[in-house]
Amino acid sequence: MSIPTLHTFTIIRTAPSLFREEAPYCVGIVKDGDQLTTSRIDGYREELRTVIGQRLIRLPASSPSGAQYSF
Amino acid sequence: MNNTLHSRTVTVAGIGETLMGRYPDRSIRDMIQEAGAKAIADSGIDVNLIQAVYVGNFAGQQLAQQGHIGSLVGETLGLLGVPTMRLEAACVSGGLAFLQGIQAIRSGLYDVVLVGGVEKMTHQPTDIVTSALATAMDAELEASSGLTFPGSFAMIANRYFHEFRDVRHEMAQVAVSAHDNALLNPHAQMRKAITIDDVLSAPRIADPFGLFDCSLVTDGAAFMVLTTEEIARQAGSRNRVVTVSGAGHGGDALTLHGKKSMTSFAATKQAAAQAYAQAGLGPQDIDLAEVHDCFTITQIINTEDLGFFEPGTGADAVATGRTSRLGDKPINVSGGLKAKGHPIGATGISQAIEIVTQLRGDAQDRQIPQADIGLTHNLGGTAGTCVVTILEGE
Repeated sequence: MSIPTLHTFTIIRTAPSLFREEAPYCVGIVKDGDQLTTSRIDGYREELRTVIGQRLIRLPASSPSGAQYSF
Repeated sequence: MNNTLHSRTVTVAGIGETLMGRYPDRSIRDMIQEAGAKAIADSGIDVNLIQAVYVGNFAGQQLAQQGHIGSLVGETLGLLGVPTMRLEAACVSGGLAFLQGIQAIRSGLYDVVLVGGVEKMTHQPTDIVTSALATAMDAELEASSGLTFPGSFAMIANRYFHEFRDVRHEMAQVAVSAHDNALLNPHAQMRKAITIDDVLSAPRIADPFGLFDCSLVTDGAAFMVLTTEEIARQAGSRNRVVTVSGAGHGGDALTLHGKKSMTSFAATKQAAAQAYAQAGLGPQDIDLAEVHDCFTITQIINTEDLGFFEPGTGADAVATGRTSRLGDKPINVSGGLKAKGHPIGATGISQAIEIVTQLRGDAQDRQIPQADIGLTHNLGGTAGTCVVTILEGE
């Protein structure tokens, strides 16, 4: 099974009303096999260095944030 | 009504827009009245000759509790009994209204139409506006993750940095240039000079974007009267005749992850290819352009996709001054979405109004010396829909 990687990402600091309490948080486009998917990436911390190509962990089920992946 | 289907030359006979800005006390009706009446008066054409109305609006229901805006335009401007149509495709709603009007005249369906756009946004708090804007992306596959529009284009910027180089400094120059241009535009919302340091040190919105990388939240309306060349001349206007020689329409996936490239927009390339082919022109022939700078990175990518600069070199053109008001390819002389304003449904029309104003030689302090052929580029969502038009002065 392939290892998912970060294709691109952003850190959301001004969030929609529904997500306001959760900011800052990371949303990325993840390359997982041949597929690209938009997902929240769990486990973001300000001190974390986030880079394109970084390996991610596929979550067995969606987390409470809806994330399918984490750092 | 002329039902003969053939291609006719379309003329922009009249233009009118409100000042762009924050007008919490102005209603949608009030803004339509001002901009629509100005456009009709400017055309010199009898209002009773207008046969149809096409109007762009994105978030009337969510932000202003107002739908059915086509009919509202008709009643407000005294066009009772005239068929109207509202078009919605996020930020290209106005561009689509323009395109629809062009097609109606070209085909012979109508001889005189009113096209326009309107948006009322600034009375709502930022998070409500952000939520409304997010409805222009895929609700299930994107917005549900907490993604915002700045976030979506920020992901594009980070990918662009990865594929080409980090252009944060040039993005800041885009913002500075837009604000400088807006200082010369009495219609602009943000008439305030800023520095590169201001941009780079601004509060973060979605990395790598700060506040000044983002276009404005704007109230405003813009309208134009389109007709045939023959009717425009009969109206006896003293304005330089401006014709639409090209009008292209491009499409792509709604989601960012569904696009083949995140650093070049297929919808722009498709729309531009159509517009250039219709006009018999190429990127080298364009004297000035109003391009969709919803975010600073977007302007850089757009100028590459329109063929003005090679892929990966749009930022170099900014850095060397080529896209400035006095450069060889002036971009967003109006101040663009970034500083003139971005009244979403009206933006595509407002861009065309700037080009018409420049081609007529009426842009006063911001008039560029050589203005015979201009281009508008209006993008919807995360580049899911695009309209490109080419306008020529007689």
